[in-house]
This record gives sequence, structure tokens and C-alpha cells, in this order.
Amino acid sequence: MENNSDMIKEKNTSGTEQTENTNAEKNKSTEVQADEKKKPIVVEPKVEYDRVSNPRYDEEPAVVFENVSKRYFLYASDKARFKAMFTSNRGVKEHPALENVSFKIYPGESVGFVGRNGAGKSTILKMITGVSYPSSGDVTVRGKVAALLELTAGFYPDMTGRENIGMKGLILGLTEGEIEDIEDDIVEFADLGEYIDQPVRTYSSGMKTRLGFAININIRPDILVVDEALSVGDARFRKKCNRAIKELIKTGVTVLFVSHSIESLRETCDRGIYLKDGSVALDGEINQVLATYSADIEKIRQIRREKREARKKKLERRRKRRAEKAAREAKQALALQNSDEAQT
Amino acid sequence: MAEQSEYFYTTKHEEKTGIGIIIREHKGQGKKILRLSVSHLVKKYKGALLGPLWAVIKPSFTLFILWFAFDIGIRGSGTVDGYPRFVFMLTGYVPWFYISEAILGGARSIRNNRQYVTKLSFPMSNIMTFTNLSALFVHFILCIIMYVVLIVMGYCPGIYNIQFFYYCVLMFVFFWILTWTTAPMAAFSIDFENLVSSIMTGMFWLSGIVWNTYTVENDTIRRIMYFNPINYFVNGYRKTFLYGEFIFERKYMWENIIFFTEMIILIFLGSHFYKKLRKLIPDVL
Repeated sequence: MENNSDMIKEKNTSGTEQTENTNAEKNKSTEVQADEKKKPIVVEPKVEYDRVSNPRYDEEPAVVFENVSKRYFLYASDKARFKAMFTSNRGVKEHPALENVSFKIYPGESVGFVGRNGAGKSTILKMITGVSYPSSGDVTVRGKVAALLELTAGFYPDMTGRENIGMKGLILGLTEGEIEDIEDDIVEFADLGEYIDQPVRTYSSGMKTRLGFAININIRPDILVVDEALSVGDARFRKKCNRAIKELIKTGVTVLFVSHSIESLRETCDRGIYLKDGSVALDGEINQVLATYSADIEKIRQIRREKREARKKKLERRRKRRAEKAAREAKQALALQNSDEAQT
Repeated sequence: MAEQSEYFYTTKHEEKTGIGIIIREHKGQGKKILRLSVSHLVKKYKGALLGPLWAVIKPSFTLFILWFAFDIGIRGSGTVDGYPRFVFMLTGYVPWFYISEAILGGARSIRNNRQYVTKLSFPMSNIMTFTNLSALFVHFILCIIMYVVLIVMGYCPGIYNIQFFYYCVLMFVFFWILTWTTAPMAAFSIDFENLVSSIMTGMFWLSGIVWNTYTVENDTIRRIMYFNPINYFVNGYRKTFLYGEFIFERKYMWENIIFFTEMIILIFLGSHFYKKLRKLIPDVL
């Protein structure tokens, strides 16, 4: 339930003019929802939009998820965890994060993932970046992945910015020549001035973000994974980032985008995948998906609002009753006092 | 697997055994691992004024203290089986320094480099390899210093010194294989890491680093000593540099058999635990 309030706050800030749009499409989306419960609807994405991306459906898909399920193990204590190493996790409580998720993403597509907190978006992105493994099912990724997630993490604090660029390149599997080629681009994009040759531990969080972004955007990825963490940095740098992402999309990069901001999703993506409680609720054209999603959110808000109203009413009634009771008692007391006085 | 592009990743057709996975993860990664191990070493000593010199200062200092305690403090005979105690301890302490680094550093490798695991798609087995490799570089430097000292003192060179390459390579491989088990387990549970580091202090005194395991009077205890692989290497280095004995001499047959049996068991254990824990570690780190 806490998640909901987060979500609603998000929506309040981002999509006030959204509600009109939502209401218009509400009828349509409720229909969609009716049978969505039985099985996910897969709408084949169409090609013709006035967009920067240019999907290539004839090529091999860049990302394939086949019946992917993911369960996290919840260990009661460190002792339980130690024991689990030898007992193959038998009897350990599990938390299902994804259930039977299947989709294909073709090179050049830009796909937005939407869903409430805990719906499984981050788990999917983690699997694409190869950081997390599915419990069952298969994930296949073709191409170099650059992840704009947690940009400030993963630096060596005692090494300079420049050395960190080399290190990151090494880990990502670039050759020395390739690293040299992109180093200047990164340094220029990050725009850290003298600080590029200072240890990263002296950086501010904004500077780290800039460096992290600059590295990831310049390693010439085939697949770009963007989380909403991008909101860090000042307005100018954010604009620069958005421009860089757009430019990358133009060159035919596959983009996977996770955000709660409906506006930025609509701007960047052609296709949307709506995740609900760990499975794909809707996969299709971005506007349709966003409409369904907003309608769902609206519904949840409605329910909450009604609940709140009901509670308020109940409280009101109780207060009234209490007030009446108090008044009655006061009256009685007064009457009693009066009669006492009369007797004397 | 039709595609063999460098940037192709799939969870399909996974190898049945942990060894298979480890071998695949190392295919064509040699250069990357080598460069990472160098950077790892550089990183370790960065920021210190004396920098890489510390890699030599630390063991020299410990050795000096040990020698001081035994020779001056306890005032033993000053010789072990006819060799000056200093020379005897030097040939034991140099391999020990690598072994302790390999066991401890190896066990901590995944946890210490967690950003590779939780932020990037980087094969865990490569982390173990490059941490062990960077410890090996330090070992090479120490060996050169040791060799110079032994030549000056008149114990080397000799034809048996060639055995160094056998022992050194085998030592690296053995403790690398040990890491397959210890690193995933230590990453998974910090208790295991603590267990390993508590055992290490004891291992120093239980192994024949400052005393000779071959001259223990009790037969049973002397034979039990064969089961400690650390002894295999420490005594091996002494055979190479001091005793001038051949590894496969008949009297060492049982020592060899026990050691290689242990190694095979470790390969199976490591393969099992690596395969099992590999997928769970990113979620718990």
C-alpha cells in the first residue's frame, strides 16, 4: 500500500494534464483490462510513427525473454543463509518477482517499461545487463549493453577520473585502442575540468553522475538501458543527456527505458511494456500502454480516495455522536444541578 | 550457439558443470584478466608514499620479527636440520606469504569486488583469477629476492632449482581451484569469510613454516602432516632451494598421492559450489 502513495505522488507532479487524456481513453482501457486478467495481450508494434527510432524487425532480436521467472530467496537470518548453502535453499521463503515474462525486442526499437514499484521492472533490466539470473526461463541479449543505472556506483575512489575511464572500459571488454579513442569524448562530455585527473573520492555526487553518464553514453553501445536515475544533475546537464540519448537512438541503438514520468516515456519510446505484479499485462504501442497504465493508477487512486472519504465520514459521524453525547450529559448535569439548587 | 560475437549473452545451453562454465568464462579473456590483475595491484598500493615497495616491506618485516623471536628470543639451537634458521624460515615464509594472500584474498575476492558483480555483467570466475594473479606477481618479486639472498649465502644455484616452476605453477592452480569454493561461499555468507580468516592464523603455526614437518617423532602426526597441502608447497620449496631433492623421489610418493587426490576433490567441490552459488550471489551481495 505504501507503494501506491509513492506512485500517486509521482503522477501528481508529472501528469496533471494527463488526466483528461486518460478519461477519454478510459472506456477503451477498461475493456482491455477485463480480459487482461486471463492472458497478456500482445499488440505487435507498428512501424510508422513520427519518431527518431527506426526498428529493424528483419534482424535477429536484440533482447529475447522466454518464459522468464525470477524468485528471490528471503533468508530469515544470516544463519539461515549459511545453512542454505548446503541444503540447496530447501524450505527457504521465496518472493516471486517475475512470472512467465516473454517478449522480444528488435534492434532499433525504443521500449518503455512501466509499472508500479515492485512490478519487476528493475529485475528485468538487471537481467538484460547480465547482473541477475532468471530462476527459470531464458534470457538472450545480442549486443553491447550500456546501463544508465546507478551511475555513481562502481568507481574506484582512489583512482582518478581518467584512470576510472580506463578501468571501466577494461571491464566492459574494450581494447586499449578503443578506450583511447573514446577517452577524449568522455572527458569532454563529462566536463569536469581539472577534476578529471583527481581521485574520484574527491568528486561531488553530481560529478560522479556526470562521469558515469559520459562513460556509458560514449562506449558506443548497441543497447542502452536507462533508468529514471537520470534526474540527477542540473538542468543544463540533463538537457545535454536527453540530447545525447536522442542522438544515440537516431544511430539505431536499442533503448530500454524505465520511468515513472509519463511525459518522458511518451517522448522517447515507441513501444511500451506494462508490468503488473511480475508479469506482462500489456505489450504494445506506447500511448495505448500508457493510457492503460494511467487508467489503472487512476482506479487505484479512486479506490484510495473513496476509502479516505469513507473513513473521514466515519470519523465525522463518530465525532458528531460524541459531541451530542457530551452535550446531552452536560444538559443532564445542569438539570441535576438546577434541581439541587431548587431543593435547597 | 550460432553467434560467437563478443557481445552475445544467453542463459541457454548452459554447461552442466561448474568447470565448464569457468572454462567458457575464461575463453579469450586472457588479456583482459592480465591487465585487470595489474590494475588491481596498482590500485592496492596507490596513495601510499612507498607504493609498491610495501609489497616487499611487509613480508620482510614479518620474517625479521619471526627470526628475531626464534633466534634471539627463544634462543633455540639456531639451526634446523643443519640449516641456519633464517634460511630455513625464508624458504618457508616466501611460499606461505603467497598462500595466505591467495587463500584470504581469494575468499574475499568477490565481496571486495562486488561492483563487478552487482553493477556489471562480469564473470565471477574472472574476479577470482585476477586477484590470485596479482598476488602471484608479488610472489615472483619475493622469489627473486629470496633467490639472490640464497645465492649470496651459498645455497644456490643448483639443478634442483628448476623445480620452482613446477611448484609455483601448481601452487597457483591449486589455490585458484580452492577459490572456486571459498569465494562464492564467502560472498554468500560473511560467516564463512570469518571462518577462513580465523583458520589462517592457526594454519601458519600448524604448517611447517618455522619448523620441519619431516622430523616430527610421532609417526601418526608426521603422516597427518601430509594432508596439509600447505606443507606440500613449503616443503617443496625447500626441496627446490635447500635440500636439493627431486619431487618424485620414492619416499615422497605418499605425499604426492595425497596431494593430488585432494586437488581432484577440490575441483569437484569448487565446480559444484561455483555452479550452485553463481546465480544467487548477485541477489545477496
